[in-house]
Amino acid sequence: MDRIIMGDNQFFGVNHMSEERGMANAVRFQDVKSIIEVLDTAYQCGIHAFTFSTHEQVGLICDHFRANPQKYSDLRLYPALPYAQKYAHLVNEKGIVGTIKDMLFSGSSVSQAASMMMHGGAIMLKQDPADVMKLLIDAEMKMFRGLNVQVVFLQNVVTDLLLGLGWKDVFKEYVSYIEHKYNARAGFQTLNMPRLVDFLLNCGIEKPIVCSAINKIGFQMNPDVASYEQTLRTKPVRAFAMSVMAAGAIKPKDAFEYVAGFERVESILFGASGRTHIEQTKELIEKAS
Amino acid sequence: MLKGGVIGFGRMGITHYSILNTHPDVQFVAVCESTEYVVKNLKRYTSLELFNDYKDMLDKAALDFVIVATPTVSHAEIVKAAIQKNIHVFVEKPFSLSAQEGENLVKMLEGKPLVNQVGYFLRFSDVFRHVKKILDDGHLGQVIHYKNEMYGRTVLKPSKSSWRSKKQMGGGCMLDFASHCIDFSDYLFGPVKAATGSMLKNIHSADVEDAVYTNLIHSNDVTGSILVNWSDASYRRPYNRIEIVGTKGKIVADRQEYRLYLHDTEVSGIFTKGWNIHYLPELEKGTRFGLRGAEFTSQLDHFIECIKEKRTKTACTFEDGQRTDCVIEMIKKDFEERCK
Repeated sequence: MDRIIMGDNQFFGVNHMSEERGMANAVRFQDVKSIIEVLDTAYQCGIHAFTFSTHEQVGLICDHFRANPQKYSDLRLYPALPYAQKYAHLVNEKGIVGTIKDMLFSGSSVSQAASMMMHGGAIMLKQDPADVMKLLIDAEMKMFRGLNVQVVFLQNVVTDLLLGLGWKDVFKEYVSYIEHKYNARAGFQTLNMPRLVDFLLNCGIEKPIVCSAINKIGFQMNPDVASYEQTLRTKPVRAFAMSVMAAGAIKPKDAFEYVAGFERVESILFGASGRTHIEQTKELIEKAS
Repeated sequence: MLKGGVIGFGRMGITHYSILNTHPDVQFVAVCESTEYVVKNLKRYTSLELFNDYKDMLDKAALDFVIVATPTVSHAEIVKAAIQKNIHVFVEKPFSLSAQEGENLVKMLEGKPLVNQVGYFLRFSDVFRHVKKILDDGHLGQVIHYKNEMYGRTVLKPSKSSWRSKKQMGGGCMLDFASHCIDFSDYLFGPVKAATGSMLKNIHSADVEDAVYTNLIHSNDVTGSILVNWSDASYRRPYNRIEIVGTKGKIVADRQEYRLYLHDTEVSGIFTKGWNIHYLPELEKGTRFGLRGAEFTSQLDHFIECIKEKRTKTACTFEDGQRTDCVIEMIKKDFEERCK
């Protein structure tokens, strides 16, 4: 896995510190061109690894990557799916079953939809959730087709919901499907890293790839910092650190030194939208590592 | 170990189940749900006893507590049956479709050692709890007026399929969104005695309102404006914000930060003159299990703790929920009278 990976929250109005700042960013990045500018800057700075949600704008960004294969020949992607907000609204409107149907059939061509409907319809009758999950993954992964995907993360709302439900088979199916169908590694985003790592090891998933907040003030780390530190020191996990600066509450230098102190933190995710900031962050992470 | 059941396994039911399924003192034993697909999955993945009829479940499952997460229209009859069976109840908001119905339920609780809670989770937000303390400690002086807002993009086109778009099922922006603001105002400033200048607006929905604007007068004469719109596409997710103006300063807060402005230096030295800004990363404590925000876990853990400690006065009782139902009726009446 790459050591330094750039995230996409800043492009889509997500700011864990301030909702208003998030909105201001969303305004700046309404046009996909301005997102690509920032990605290009990062690419020029030597950052070739990016994590993306499956926000509809990301589809356009991927089109751009595909249209310029020479320029992005060394690109590596770490997508996270599904895009939670999109489905929260659908579930409100159509219920859980209606949402699944909608997800399967939206964005497909007529013939695809017809074949999926046959396929999906049969599956809905058979009620096999693992097969439904596979169709949903395919629907979400469509936008990344032909690009170099390293890890496919399951977004934290879904991971943590399933973790709470304790449905081991779904986790195992997810890992095996991502590995076989997409020739990539499966990863999990979570707000409950210590519990998830224990659970995944229990499922027989070896050296699980887990993406979570890791910062010394415990922001978005449940139940507490001590449990995270214990897990990082004692469990065979490949950790992917995000919210390293706790949305700005920790100074960059201190933040990166803290995460770099854990051998099992393999990758560090950061968000930035200007050249200076990107360069500084890269330098700080490299220095701390 | 407390034995629990869930009635209604939709978005909220499944969330509550998942959160409490990780609680060391809770064991879920039963779920009541009618959607076939959901039931088949529960059969496959769990050893829960599954029911199609909640009365059956309350009769047979030997529950200590039940989570009621059905459409609002059925809350009252289910809660009533649970109280009759002496089962502790956590019910999703809003409490009931009518103030009278709710009052009867509150009366039924008298003399029964039953823990009762309504799912107004904003009361458990770390930032809003700080706002409450700042108010109660008098940092703002006397409150002059407040503005309590909630916006979201829940309904962006006409919808017929969701129960949330149907009046008789308990749908509408008033019950789904505005109820949160009304309860939050009650939590901060106490009971409401009147609603005035109320406007209910349709944007996309035919059967229910999509926006609610009103002014509340509390028993202590504090006044405030409620502005709610669930058809505002500019918001990524439901968003709550409150601004309170007092004689000594003002505070503006959402679930991620608060900004307190004080006119003068305080003797206490807790806050400085001018702006005091604090963000969630420093205000939030880790939670036992995080799913969709710490507030959701805090409210359920509080419910379980109250059962264990035999405390019937939760942070959001049926009585609290019923007062919000009364205010909803006041607002509707105020609006209807002016429309005549």
